[in-house]
Amino acid sequence: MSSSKNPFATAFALLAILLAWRSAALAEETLEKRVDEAKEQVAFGIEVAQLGLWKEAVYRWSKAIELDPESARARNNLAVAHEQMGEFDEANQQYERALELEPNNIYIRQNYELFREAYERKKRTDRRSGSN
Amino acid sequence: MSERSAPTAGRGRTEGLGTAGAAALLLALASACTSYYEVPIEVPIAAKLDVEKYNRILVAGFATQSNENIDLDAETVRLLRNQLRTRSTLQVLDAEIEPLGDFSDKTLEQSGMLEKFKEIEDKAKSEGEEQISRQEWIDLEQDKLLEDEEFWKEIGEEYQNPLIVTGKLAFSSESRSGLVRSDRYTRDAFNRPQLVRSNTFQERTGYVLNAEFYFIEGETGRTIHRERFTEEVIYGRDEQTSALSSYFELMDRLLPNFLSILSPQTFRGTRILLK
Repeated sequence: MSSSKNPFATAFALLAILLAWRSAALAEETLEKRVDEAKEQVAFGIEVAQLGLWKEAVYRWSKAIELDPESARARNNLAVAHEQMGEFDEANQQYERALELEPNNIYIRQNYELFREAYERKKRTDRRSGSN
Repeated sequence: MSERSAPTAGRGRTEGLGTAGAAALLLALASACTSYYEVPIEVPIAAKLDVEKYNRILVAGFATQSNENIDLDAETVRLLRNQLRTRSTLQVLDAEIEPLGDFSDKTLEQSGMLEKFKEIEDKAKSEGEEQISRQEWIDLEQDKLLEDEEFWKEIGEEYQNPLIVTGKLAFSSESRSGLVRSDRYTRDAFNRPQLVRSNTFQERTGYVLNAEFYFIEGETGRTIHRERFTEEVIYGRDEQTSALSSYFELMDRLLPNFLSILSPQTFRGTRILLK
């Protein structure tokens, strides 16, 4: 009733809908862009890790997680890097988060199980220690 | 290192599934394809003790306790010296050091120490003190020897202040006979596999090795690190294994952890990187 009488209100409503739609589309576009950038960082991290440059790999995968915190792959890879560097607590944290994100990923699970063996062994050895 | 393409959701078997199910599964697998890279990793584990200031190490005698006929002290000293020679950077000293003492029942009885313990026990009882077990008493006697800083300082001076390894060793065989659960598969009338669980009595012997290593600074005679390990192996009645073989098997299990106190260790394995 009021819209037919007030053409400005109709125009405003349409404009608001248009802006909301546009900002949603932009947000989606930005998110997609960030996810793509994260994927690039993940791939680059793998390349440097294969050359044995684990510290740079950590930087790449951390960057990937900043861009896409939901990337289970980046977290898995970061966990492997931490493991390689002997940073077990950090590795454990990243593996657990990766599994929360992709609980059915057999590769992450396999990595995690192998890691747990070494981690438990280390913790057992540390606990056994009766240093003065 | 290798690159492969594989599903993330598991290695599915399509046999026995309906056509629609198989198609859906294949579609799901195809859409979820990802690349993975297998990489070798070497996990560094730092040594627990900083041994940089010690160039030399002396494996001294041990306080031992066993109900088996093996020379625990001599075997352990020989084994540790050989292992340290090949797997550590320290110079291993070859020296004849007297064992700290044999606390086996037979030896305690022969030396009259058991009578001494009986006297202590009776005195404690008459004074209304808490009862002490024989093992507690043995532990206290062993601790006195291992914590005698003057004694270790003298040894240290004699061998130019090395890092000294000593400790307590207890090796025994114990019956582990009892009911053991076993699972086996049989087939029913329709040739379907069935799991059958049963408990059967098995005669078994267990060998237990308790080792507590003391790392003593030769210069001061002070213990700088102490670590305890326990390992057990169980054999069935049909397995003819001597006490000495069991001892070596248990020491083999324990050695990596012992060596990790003195030298950095590396765990090797492979992990999967995901793209």
